[in-house]
Amino acid sequence: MGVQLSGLFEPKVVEFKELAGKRIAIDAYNALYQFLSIIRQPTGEPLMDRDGNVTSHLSGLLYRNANLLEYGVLPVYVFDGAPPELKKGVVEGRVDTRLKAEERWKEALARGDLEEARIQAQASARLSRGILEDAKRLLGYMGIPVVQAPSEGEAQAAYMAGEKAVWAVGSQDFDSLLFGAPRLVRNITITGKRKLPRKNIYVNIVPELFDSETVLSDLGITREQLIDLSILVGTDYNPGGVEGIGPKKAYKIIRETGGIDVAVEKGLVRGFDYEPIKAFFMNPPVTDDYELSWKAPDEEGVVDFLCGERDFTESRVRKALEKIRAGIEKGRSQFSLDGWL
Amino acid sequence: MKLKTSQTDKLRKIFEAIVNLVDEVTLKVAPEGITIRAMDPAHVALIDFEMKKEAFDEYKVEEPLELTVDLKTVVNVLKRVEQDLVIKIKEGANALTLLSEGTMKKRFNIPLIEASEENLKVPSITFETEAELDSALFKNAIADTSIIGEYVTLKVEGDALYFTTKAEENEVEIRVDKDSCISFKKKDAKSHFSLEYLQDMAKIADIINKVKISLGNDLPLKLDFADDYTKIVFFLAPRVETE
Repeated sequence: MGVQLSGLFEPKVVEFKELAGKRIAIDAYNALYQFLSIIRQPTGEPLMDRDGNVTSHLSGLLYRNANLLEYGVLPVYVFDGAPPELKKGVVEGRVDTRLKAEERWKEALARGDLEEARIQAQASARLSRGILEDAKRLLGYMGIPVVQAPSEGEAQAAYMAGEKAVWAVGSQDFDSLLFGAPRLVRNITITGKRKLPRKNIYVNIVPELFDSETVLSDLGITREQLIDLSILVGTDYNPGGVEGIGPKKAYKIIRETGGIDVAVEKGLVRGFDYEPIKAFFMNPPVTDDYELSWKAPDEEGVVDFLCGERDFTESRVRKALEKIRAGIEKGRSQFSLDGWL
Repeated sequence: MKLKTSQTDKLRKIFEAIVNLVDEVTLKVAPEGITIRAMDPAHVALIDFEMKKEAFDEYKVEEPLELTVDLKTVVNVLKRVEQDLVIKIKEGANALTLLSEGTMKKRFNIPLIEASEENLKVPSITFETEAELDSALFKNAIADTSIIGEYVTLKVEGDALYFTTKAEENEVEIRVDKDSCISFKKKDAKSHFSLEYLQDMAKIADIINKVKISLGNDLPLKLDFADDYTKIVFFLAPRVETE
């Protein structure tokens, strides 16, 4: 989900080779949802092993990370902790939405409407405990570090980028910019040809870089004002935002008033309890308790798990492992000059 | 703008040394001379190049210009021209013109491209270990270590500079004693580097005959090549020693 700010920022298209040697903290939930919704059979069914365990996300984690590492990008996956109080309503709402989508998916399948079935199936993707455990287990075998956030993964990833432990946050959402990330890279786990829903059009998805300093100076606002703007538009903690206010209008209001408090004072926006949301974006719970080290993959561990337990084809898994091993070796051993500039 | 040189080879070697680092390069042409500063996309290596106007046979630059060109195209063109070369740009034109006058009169137009604006900084490091030597020795040692390895360890220990590499059962050690160096500021230091980058940098030995190697412990390497009117400085980030 996340705050909907597309259209307000100009992305800078980057090539993977420009990301070589860079550490990127990927919002794990965000990436897993992407894998679960995209990697599906034509009927909308996720990939599964013979026991019915979902494997779409394992496929995504293996092959996408192999690609990233081949380019010399070092990923670290940041998992959400307990959702903040503020988000309770949203989380419940989402479960509901997903259950409804699941119903519509089954109905569409019964009608033989594959297009609709696929769309509804994608919207029904859920992160079960089993899916999360499998994901962490696979990343462990692959030698890729996992960080457990105390609260929002996006906030923890932003903190790590701010501390220069990583170069950027990798997510489809813009929330990390609100949490203070200096850089956000989108699309790194979903690059390639993608079909647009409900249209017979394919688009080529490329990585996009958002540099916080540039984004803010282009808009002529501060991070705090960006948070205000986002709260008007709607965030995970106040979905929908203020009725009738989209990104463009919110931008105009913030530029004119300087902040949500003045906007409320002047009667431009009806008063509401925005302070706790703002405070959360400014100071989310984060931790220093993490370790970033990329290890040579435990190849037999990966093969035993994916091929032995989850019915993957061994030759394809071995091929991906080759890329992972070479990538980790390359990425972890070459410094960049950035630390001395 | 009009520049005339009788040392095309020199220019070509400089561009060849960085063609694997970057796709495009911005030439800053100022009344005092030309400069290039570039860093590869992974930020592992940086080049800082300067050629003073005195290095040219004719140097006419009224106002500073920034000319961004595709590097491969420039290298290919420089391979096709004679030693005497005129580089010019017509006012308002969107291409760099290279004229070479041998038995055949050759003209190449290289289109200017939009610069990806980036003001690069140079690493600020104080080095306590420096060895200045004949650049041919340096190139030779890099070639020696390249036959077996992908990485090289540069080390100053006691009164000598060492280039060493190991791969499986193979080992190479090249020692250059202090007495064989032009100058030697010793403090034991050791770092590891990728030979892929060093092989390209060593090409400058063909046109400039001295190099100063600055070294530290797990610090970037600095290579200074300089003659009267030309200065080429490379920085190369170290590798982590594995094993």
